[in-house]
Amino acid sequence: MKEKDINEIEIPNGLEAEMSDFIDSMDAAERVMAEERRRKGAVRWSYVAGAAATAALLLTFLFRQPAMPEDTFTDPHEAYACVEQALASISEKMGSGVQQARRAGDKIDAGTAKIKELYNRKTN
Amino acid sequence: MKKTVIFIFAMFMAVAAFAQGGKELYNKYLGKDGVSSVYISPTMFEMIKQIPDIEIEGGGSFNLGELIKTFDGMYILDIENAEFVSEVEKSVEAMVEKGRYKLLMEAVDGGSRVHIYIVQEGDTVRDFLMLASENGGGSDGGSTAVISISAKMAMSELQKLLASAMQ
Amino acid sequence: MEREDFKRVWLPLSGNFYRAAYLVLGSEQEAKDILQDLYVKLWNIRSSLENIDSPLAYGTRIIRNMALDKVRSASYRTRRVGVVAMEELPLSDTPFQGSAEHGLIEKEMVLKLKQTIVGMQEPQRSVVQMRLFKDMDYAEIARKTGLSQINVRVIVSRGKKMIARALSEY
Repeated sequence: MKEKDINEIEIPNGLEAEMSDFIDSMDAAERVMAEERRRKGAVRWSYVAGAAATAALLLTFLFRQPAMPEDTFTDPHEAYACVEQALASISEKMGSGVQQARRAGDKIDAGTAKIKELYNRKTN
Repeated sequence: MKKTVIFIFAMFMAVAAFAQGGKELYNKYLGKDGVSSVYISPTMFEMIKQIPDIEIEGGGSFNLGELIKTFDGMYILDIENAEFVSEVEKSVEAMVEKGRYKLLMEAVDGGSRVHIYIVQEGDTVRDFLMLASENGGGSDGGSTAVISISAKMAMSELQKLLASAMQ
Repeated sequence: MEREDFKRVWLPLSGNFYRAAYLVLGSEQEAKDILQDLYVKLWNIRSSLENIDSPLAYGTRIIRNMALDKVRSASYRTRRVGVVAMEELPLSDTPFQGSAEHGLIEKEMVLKLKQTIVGMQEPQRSVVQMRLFKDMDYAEIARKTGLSQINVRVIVSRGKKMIARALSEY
């Protein structure tokens, strides 16, 4: 085939999309692996964090009857985000409780006001 | 030798204090149908503490990052299975009756109920447990969320959380 | 060079690269194959690709050589002499040693990743795809799937663990 014919070669349908997916996959694989490596590094670090910590871990292991569940997250950033969200929901629920208390408080105030009013009327 | 014994005894006490109800519940419902669960281990909390710049959301005078630094374990159960919902509530009630947990707050508003319990040691909150249930109408069997946190949280920190919730 | 930049520069050229490979190999499947190999190589050295003046010429040259290598290593081994003359740039001249900052990606690894994801059950598969491939944030995924954000985070985290396990041999 001559050089001028090169443009006549048909490009398969969806080639670019296919390659785009392929690049996405490479990116994803790399990120997962990098994260895994980071995590392993961090865990290894914690093992050498002094004899006391090791002893604590060991004892924790020995004395807990049910096996400790597996960590849900491997990335501390994700774990942090989850904790933050949990706290937000706690705060929200607490808030609704507090509001209710306030409403109840208002009602009590209204009630005592009424009594006071009646009392005042009576005495006057 | 004596020191070692004391040390080990102290560790044992710490472990015993840590082994609270959240874990029992978590282990019981882990992987069950209609239950999603999250566990964050003490090791993971150690790692969270090492995140250099924990960004604090919510603003105001309240610092979420500081509070999180006092945590050393967290269990979350999100239950959407009617059968388990009532079961969990009963288990929590039983735990409270055993006297370990103290009711901090109870709020019932229509179909939603929120109970918050704590385990206190002097001025320190060692365990925090929230049970939030929602009654579903009709076919929807309702749902319940249990959040249990082991911590060494000063009572004042919890009060700050409460204060921030009021805003 | 991050993914979007990489795609912006190199993806529109895929047709040209494909043609260059097809010209040498004469088969659609083989040309596609070698095109993937090219993207693997480019991806692995992406941080050193920023100063390339003409990505088209650079990529075409590499893929041509890869295609020629393939032809040579297969049935053309005996007629090697004629082909060697066409060689313009040995692959060792390009920085394919890879830089230390990224892990090197292999084609098999990408295949394994795809297998793992295909093997996942719904909703895990869609959630993992949305997170890892489309970079959607958790709130968005939660909205689209109707799952809670915590749930989405858990699913993604477990998916990542599955993938990491599948890729652990690399």
